[in-house]
Amino acid sequence: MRIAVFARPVQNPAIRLESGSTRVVEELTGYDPIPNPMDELALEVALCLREKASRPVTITACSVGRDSSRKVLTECLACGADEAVCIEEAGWEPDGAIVAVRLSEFYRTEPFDLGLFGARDLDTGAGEVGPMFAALAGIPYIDSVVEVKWSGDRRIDVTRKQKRLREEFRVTLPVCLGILRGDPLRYPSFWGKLEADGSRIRAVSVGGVPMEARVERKKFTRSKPRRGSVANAYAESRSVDQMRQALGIAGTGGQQKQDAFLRGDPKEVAERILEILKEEKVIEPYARYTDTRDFLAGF
Amino acid sequence: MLDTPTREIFWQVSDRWVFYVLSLATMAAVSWGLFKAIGFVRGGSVSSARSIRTLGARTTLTDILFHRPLAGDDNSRWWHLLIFYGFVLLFFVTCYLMLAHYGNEALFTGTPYLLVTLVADLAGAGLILGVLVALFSIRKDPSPARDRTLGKATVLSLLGLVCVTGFLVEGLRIHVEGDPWKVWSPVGAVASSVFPSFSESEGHRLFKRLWWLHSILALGLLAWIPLSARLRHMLFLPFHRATTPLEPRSPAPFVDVEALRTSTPSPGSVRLGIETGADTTQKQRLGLLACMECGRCERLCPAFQTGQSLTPRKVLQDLREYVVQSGEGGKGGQALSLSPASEAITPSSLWACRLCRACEELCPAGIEHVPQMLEIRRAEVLGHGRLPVEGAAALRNLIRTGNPYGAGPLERASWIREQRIPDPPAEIAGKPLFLWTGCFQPGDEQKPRVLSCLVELLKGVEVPFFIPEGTACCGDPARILGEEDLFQALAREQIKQIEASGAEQVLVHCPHCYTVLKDVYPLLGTRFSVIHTSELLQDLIREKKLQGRGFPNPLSVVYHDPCFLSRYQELDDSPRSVLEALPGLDLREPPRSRKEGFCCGAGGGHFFMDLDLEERPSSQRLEEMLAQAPEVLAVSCGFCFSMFDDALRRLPEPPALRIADWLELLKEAREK
Repeated sequence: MRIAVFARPVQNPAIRLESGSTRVVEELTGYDPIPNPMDELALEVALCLREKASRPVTITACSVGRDSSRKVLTECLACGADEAVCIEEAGWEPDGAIVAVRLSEFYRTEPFDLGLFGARDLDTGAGEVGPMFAALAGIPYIDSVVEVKWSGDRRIDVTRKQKRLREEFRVTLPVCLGILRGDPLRYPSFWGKLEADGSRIRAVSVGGVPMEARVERKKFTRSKPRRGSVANAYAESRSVDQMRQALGIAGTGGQQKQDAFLRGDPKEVAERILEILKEEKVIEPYARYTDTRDFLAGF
Repeated sequence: MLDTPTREIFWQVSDRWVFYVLSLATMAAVSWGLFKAIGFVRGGSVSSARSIRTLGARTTLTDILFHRPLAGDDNSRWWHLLIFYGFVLLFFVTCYLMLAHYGNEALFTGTPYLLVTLVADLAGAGLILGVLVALFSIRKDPSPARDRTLGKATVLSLLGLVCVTGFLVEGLRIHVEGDPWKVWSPVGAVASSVFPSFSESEGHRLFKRLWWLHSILALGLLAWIPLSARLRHMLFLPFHRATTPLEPRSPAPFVDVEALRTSTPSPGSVRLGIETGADTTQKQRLGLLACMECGRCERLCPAFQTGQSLTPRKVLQDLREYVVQSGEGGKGGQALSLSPASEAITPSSLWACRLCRACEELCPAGIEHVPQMLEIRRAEVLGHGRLPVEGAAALRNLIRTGNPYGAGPLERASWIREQRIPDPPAEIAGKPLFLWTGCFQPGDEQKPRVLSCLVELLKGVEVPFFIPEGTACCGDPARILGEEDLFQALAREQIKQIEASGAEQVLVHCPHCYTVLKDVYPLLGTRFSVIHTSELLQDLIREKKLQGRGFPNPLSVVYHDPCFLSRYQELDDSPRSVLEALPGLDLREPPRSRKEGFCCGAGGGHFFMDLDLEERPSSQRLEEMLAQAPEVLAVSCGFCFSMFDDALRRLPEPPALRIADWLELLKEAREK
């Protein structure tokens, strides 16, 4: 049995990526790729399924891209993936559609039973590759998965949750899942890191139709994403930890925000609350409220 | 009746051959026990070659003769001194008797007889007194460890019983024989009065029975010494203590990860830490034998004292058991994994340890618990990647950003620019002080504030210094979480940066960074020296280069010692002397302070692992500090600050207490 985990490199939120006119994000100043955090959750799901499987399971980490993909795949190998496949894509950074097509071409040559994706990408907030790939490959896709467990030889029980909706499915493989929540990815052992050198990454060129002319990035600039979105959590994070916590993934305990007790003169307390709300960007930081009524009118 | 003071040594004892056979059997049992113990120690691996100065024989002897490690302890020093000297003197008296009996009988005649008799009586009486006080103190022992109490009481009772039967034997002899020199056997003379009058033959028969009972108990006690944890410390503690490193305490045995990487090892072929009992070193095994299970290690343990699963004493006991089980003489054989199988060494107890060294501070045998815990963590993390999820998140952050909170370099870089540090004067441009800032945590205002105070103070006294932008975390979070591979990678990078800057001395304020830079980096090869801010500022105050105007209104301050400064580095005086030099500052001491201070609970990676605890060490410690009614709680470590800040917020009615670094107080005193 084979489980494929798709790992995508995303920019480290702690490192500022400078804007620039380039078609390849890897060429931008400050580019520092890390694995998409929800792809890490997907890998952990795969590792847990392998441990509990009644038959041998091979985990293949896949990524479409170049050097940054290799870096991400090395981390997957260190954490316990059995093999890593880098689907090489010449030219500039492939968009979601190209990645989905390349993965479907790879699936035709090397099919797998279970495909695991991170439900959302950290940087764009999108989760488009998984559904597109499933459509191209002709296999079902379940998004926002929070729990996966074996229910038979080639069957799994899947729970998905979105806001107040919770659904449970019994699925016969092959299937693709978009993992939204789960246990954090285990830490690699020294032996895992030793074995995870670049030579274990298999470069695959799937050929197919050249697609680079269709979508072309003209310019990369930072913009403010919609409040409450994954991309917003990414954009507002000053550290990997803040980003993790915004996504509901375990971070370090030390810097978690504490409740604050404000004491003193009511006017001073009110001013402090105003400052905090501005700092937290609940209200516009540049707004000047001269009166409490103006402040309340903003809501 | 004899005119010359003496007595027959084997008076009324027939069938002496039985005694000789029992004595030989005892000697054989002791020898077998010693042989096994030596095999147990020799089965361990040899520690990595590191020339460290040890306590040595002379200091150890003085420590033992005066029981110095127990100084400051409630009353255990005194009762143990009574038992110790009682036992030693009685042992020598017994040897002397053998010498007199089989060699020269004159040795047991006249004045020597009278003196030996008196010494033996006093020693026996002292031993019984010591045993009684010790037994009484067990009743008052708040420790819930029932096994320890029972074992201790059994050993003490046996010791006391040997002496009591000895006095009964002596008393009966005096009672039957009518000793004219019984004044030299005062306790025996008193014991003689407890017997009723009976015929001589009845007296002889009872004497024989008592004598055999006493002899069997005494020989049994001797045979039990190498086998009993509470008794064998008398054989192994002196050797272990003599080989204990001098302060500062040694870090865990060094593993050269870089060399390991190039040697293409495989799992099981190299020792990464203590994974099975067979992985312990000879020194560690000697420590396991030297442990007397007294439980002092639990008294200041922040985990034990707040009801967490860690019991330092039980960890040693279990480790000893696993070494024994790991094969003949502990040389290998069956490899038993420690953490899943042991009762005391569980994942929760392993990660509950704060690595604060409070256990080591109080251990009379000088056992180094912390390097052992670190080595077990190393085996878990390096060998299997097993650690709490928050700890793993901190390690991933370190890998990705060089900062345990996952912060990028922007925050630190902008803070450095804000400081507007002047270029050092040309004449000393090559040797300015390298100010180590450590990691910045996003949203944390305390650390930049404290470092800004330091910068202002240094500018004020015109000490040339610089802060390079390139450095990252010193690696301590990785080291204490057992990720030696990541620690060494980070450390080598920082060493490269410091040495490339040309600095000969690094000034550090964070006690954790200071300990790592000073004690652990040299293992990787460094050429620079490291100085703590309290040492530098203390010197500047002494030289009157730095003076504070003081506080116009008296300010009551209580100072909390960070474990990494007071216990690891013995720097408990310097921050105090800086504070004491400030006019108007009333420095108060909490009940547990300096080297015997109580940990805030952040050590051992707990700052990154916010466990959901019912009782927190920080809350317990804060209560002690608040009892001193201070206006300010002075700290010397950012982790301590955060822990107390959190504990203060958790109080239902927080008192008007300010938590501040002592550097902030110094700066305020200069401004007032």
